[in-house]
Amino acid sequence: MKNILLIIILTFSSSLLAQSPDSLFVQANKLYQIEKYEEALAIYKEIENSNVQSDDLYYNMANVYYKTDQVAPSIYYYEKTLLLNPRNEDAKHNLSFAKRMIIDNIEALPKTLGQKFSKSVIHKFNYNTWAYSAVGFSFLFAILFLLYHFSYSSVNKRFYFLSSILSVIFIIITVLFAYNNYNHTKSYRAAIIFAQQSDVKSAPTNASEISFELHEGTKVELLESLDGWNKIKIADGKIGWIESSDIKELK
Amino acid sequence: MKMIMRFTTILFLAIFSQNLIAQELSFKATVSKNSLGSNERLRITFSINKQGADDFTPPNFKKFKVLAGPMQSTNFSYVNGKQTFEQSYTYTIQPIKKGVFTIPSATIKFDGNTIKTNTVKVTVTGAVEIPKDPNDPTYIASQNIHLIAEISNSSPYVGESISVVYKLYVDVNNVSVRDTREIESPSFNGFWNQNIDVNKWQPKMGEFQGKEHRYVTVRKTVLIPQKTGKLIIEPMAIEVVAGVPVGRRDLFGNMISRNTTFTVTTGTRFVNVKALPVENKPVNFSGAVGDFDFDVTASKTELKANESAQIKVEVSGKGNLKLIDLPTIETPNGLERYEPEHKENILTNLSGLRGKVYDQYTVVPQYRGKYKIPPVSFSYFSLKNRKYKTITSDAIVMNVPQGKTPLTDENNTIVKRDVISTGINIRYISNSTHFEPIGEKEDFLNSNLFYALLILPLFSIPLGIFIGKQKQARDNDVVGNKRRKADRLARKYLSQAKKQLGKKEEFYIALEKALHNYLKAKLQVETSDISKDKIADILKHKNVDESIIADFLKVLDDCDYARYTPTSNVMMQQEYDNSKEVISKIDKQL
Repeated sequence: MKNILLIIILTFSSSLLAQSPDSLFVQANKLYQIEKYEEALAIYKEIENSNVQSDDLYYNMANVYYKTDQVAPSIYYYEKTLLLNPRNEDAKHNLSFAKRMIIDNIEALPKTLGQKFSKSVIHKFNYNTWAYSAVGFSFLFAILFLLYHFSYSSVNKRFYFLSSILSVIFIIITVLFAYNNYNHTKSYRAAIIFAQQSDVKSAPTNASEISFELHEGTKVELLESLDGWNKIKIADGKIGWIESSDIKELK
Repeated sequence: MKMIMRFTTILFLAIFSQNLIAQELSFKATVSKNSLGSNERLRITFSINKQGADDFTPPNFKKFKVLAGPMQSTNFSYVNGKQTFEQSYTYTIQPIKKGVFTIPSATIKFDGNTIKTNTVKVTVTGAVEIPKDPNDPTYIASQNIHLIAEISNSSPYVGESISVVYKLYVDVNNVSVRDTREIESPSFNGFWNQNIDVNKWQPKMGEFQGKEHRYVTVRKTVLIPQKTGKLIIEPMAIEVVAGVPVGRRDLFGNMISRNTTFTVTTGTRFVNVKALPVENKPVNFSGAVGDFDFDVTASKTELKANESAQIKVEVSGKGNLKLIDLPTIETPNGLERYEPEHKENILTNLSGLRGKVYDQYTVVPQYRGKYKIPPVSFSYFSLKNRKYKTITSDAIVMNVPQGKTPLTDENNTIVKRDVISTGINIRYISNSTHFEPIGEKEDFLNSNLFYALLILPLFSIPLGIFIGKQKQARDNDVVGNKRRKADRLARKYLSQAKKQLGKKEEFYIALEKALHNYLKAKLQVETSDISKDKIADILKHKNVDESIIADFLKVLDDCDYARYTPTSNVMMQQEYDNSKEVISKIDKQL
């Protein structure tokens, strides 16, 4: 009786163990280490399907795809990593390697000062991070204002006044950044071309003429969709329609 | 006189009438014969006898074919004072079929008037045997020398190679060939063509029209039709000098022959070129027809940055190799590709072209990393099973373990890194992670908590100010402050005693100790060893009221007594309260 109980507990715990994403992750990483990429990928995919997410998981999957020379999925998962965590340096680094395998050479439009700023500052952090810092500045403002109110020496008063004004400015800035980031994140939809080669047409019909062609791995911005066609925009500003089966949306 | 008059009249009339005759206008049609065989020819002449006619329009020779004409001639003569003029237009025509036909009239303009000829009736009978002279050497030669064009396939597909072999057949029993000269080369419009050199005219025996002939191959050409439809192969003509025996022998018994020169021709030949089927035609089909093999190979797949490698796109096999457009490869950004070098190694023979063609690309990777050259496909029409076939090469992955690191998007500067010789150039996977469930994770931004936390400090400012004001007010109340302070002190020192409340011995020891400790802290005097009088002195010295000192000493005394007398909890509590009161009182005065 005791033995049976033990066995039941053991099997139950081991099955629990097998299903826990963390242990699967460790298992897959070991397979990666001994270069069994296919097997590692299968386990990563299992984790992915178990309704959990993590930037590290996507990053590892992207590495597996890179190792097995699959351009589009590799880039797709690096981008997905960066979508979840825009500050993952490893993913940025490896993405620049994976991009070497892309055929298309798209000359990006020169960025305006505002776009550069928005990329290097506003989108450096998640909008929730901006929201937290806004709350932080709000508290800081309250403390500094009270200090200003109760301090007697004019030096202190001046200091607290200025710093409280500054924190009000910071509150406004961080809230604006948070909403700017939020709107951009919610409206920006990107996709990766999965087809080896895909014709981008001038209209969403098969008969329309080809505007340009794109190859596997290129990132495009999705503008709208219609009956199995997607209107896309590429980095140099060209716009066209592509068949939805040729791309995979990043989300 | 009357006589003279009459004579003059006659003379005048004569002169006048003569003039009249000379001036009569006639425009007529004459034919060489009115009845002819359908294989014979006919000459028709339209002539006018007056100068100055213009704008001749020939009749419509409906049932006749114009072989030659119009030949225009003008004849002007002056004989015995008589002037004649004739301008004529002559056509040579041949009937198309049998029957009785009327050649309609021709017209010409004279002096502003349009004049017509008469119509001519012609009877065309069946073909007439044109008598041949069997002894005419040219005739004999033409019967015994033939030039034949042998076409291997007269209905090929577009792009399928065919061959034409020109052979000169000679019946050596009847004629001998002395000399030949090619006077007209065949032309192949719509074909790609290549001659196969015929070095020596090697006579061979062959059968032609059921008779043994000797023949030589004059010319061999490989043709590849370039368009569909009925294509014409223009004839080839050879002038032959043939020796025809005249049937007599010379003194030595040798046959005497006469040389005759005549032209043999192949006649126009037609090739019916079929179009390739439209169904299942691959998109990238560029006209390759035959049986091919396709391969894309790299000279090396592991190399350093800035080192070059060759990529060969090769089509080999049999078919219209010279007309093939080789597919081009595409390379990723950092892999520089140079214009390919096109090379051919093709053998041409009667069955077509065989060999290989290839484009050799030089590629140079610029950075460390992996480069993927995507698969390339090549489509052709297979003649074996009359179907389109597509061969797709494998993708080539070039691994570049050493070299510069590519520019990163972020800062556009070249990041110099130590050279790692392991060949792994991407960063390793991450080994630990924190999983979070996918789904509608509540955003902090826009949540109620966010708004509350953002607004809360603003509302807390008035609250803070209110609290601060109260504190200030209390700070300004000196007496109250002193009392509160003393209470606090008393509570602090008596806390130990309070804990022991209920246990007689411990309580009083603690209480006494607390009182002494208080004095010690307040007066910086160790009072536990000095007498109560001394304590009273010190306190008096510090301007403490007599009554309070008395109270204080009473409490100390009580502590002493209580230890040796029975006490109740109520008394202890009373003692505690007393000491608390005393301490606050003293504190106020100190």
